[in-house]
Amino acid sequence: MFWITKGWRFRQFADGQGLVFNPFTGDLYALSEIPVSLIIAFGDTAASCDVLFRRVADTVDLDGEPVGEETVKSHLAALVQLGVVTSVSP
Amino acid sequence: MPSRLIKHDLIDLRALSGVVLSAPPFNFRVRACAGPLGKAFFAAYADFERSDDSAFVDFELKIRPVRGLRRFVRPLISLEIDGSEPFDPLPAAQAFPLLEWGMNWCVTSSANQYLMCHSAVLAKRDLAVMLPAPPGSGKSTLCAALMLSGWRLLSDELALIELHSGKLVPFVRPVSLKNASISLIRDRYQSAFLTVPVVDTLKGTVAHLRPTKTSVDLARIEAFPRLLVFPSYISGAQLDVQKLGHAAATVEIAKNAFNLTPLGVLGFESLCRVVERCDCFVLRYGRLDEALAWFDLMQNQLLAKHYAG
Repeated sequence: MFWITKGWRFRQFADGQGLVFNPFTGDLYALSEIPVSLIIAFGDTAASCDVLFRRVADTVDLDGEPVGEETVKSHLAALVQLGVVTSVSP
Repeated sequence: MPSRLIKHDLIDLRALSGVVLSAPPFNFRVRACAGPLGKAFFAAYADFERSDDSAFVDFELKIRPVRGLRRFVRPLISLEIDGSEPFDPLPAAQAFPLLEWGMNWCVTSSANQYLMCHSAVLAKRDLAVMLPAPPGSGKSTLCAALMLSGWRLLSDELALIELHSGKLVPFVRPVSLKNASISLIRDRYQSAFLTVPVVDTLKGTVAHLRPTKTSVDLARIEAFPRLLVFPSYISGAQLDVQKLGHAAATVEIAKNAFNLTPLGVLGFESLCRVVERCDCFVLRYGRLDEALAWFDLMQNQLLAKHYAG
């Protein structure tokens, strides 16, 4: 999973292309180039962009183990319930 | 009161007070107690101003001989910057390149009032082009050719971006040329002044091209970027130009940024503002004539768009 935590910045250009920026490390990612299939945004960043939910089948959890679609969905449901994820877009 | 640098100032290079070189937006005090610095320094900076001793000095640089036997036998010199020596000693013949690298280091290590990118910057009729590129991509050769073809130089190495306005602040200095590009520029532009090439440096053979007088005279005039071009030179290649989306261009220019991490969100926002203003391209070229013609075409198109509103 590609975690976008509080404090990150999201930017969308007029041509529709998006960027995320990690201000703590200086890492910058074009959204089309992120090599993972699931991106979760938290806190302030989530307030400024929808969570981007891509192909679930290839999602990998933080320990590097593959997880199935149902596990991811239940993780997301828990995060929504906790209020740290504002929306999920398939 | 600033005055033009003159050869007579060579004596002052060796004095305690040195020479305060005005290279806007910075002042450098340069002292040289060793090495053949004087001739190259005054030739490369011939059109620049010398600030008087009351001017605020941003950086203090001193070329001095090393201690011990290497002061006399195959002499080595070192560069002292604000009391410390960030570089290894080099042969005395490399005094001027060492000074130039030192001046770059001064700015990139401390000028965090700007967002700084490894990029050439030039402008024609107030439309500025940035050429971000890693070393070895042909950026400096292209920059030199553009300058000598009528574009004014803002910088050949460091783009200084005002954080809030997104304006490009000129930092005009001699253009550093390496290896084959030295003879290429010398043969093509015979009235251009280059310092005597210095061999066997870490970057190969190095010479410096004096900036045009127009570039120096306009060194305090900022410009807004309008064209962002990522150049790469491949010998014999046909001209190939690909348009780049803004997000991809931002990621590419970020790879050439010196201080995006310490600037954090402010740097990111500034970078995005710069890219948003620009048409962005990847340019692969094998012949200078073709590359120069493309830049003139783009400049004409952008100007026509600008004046059409």
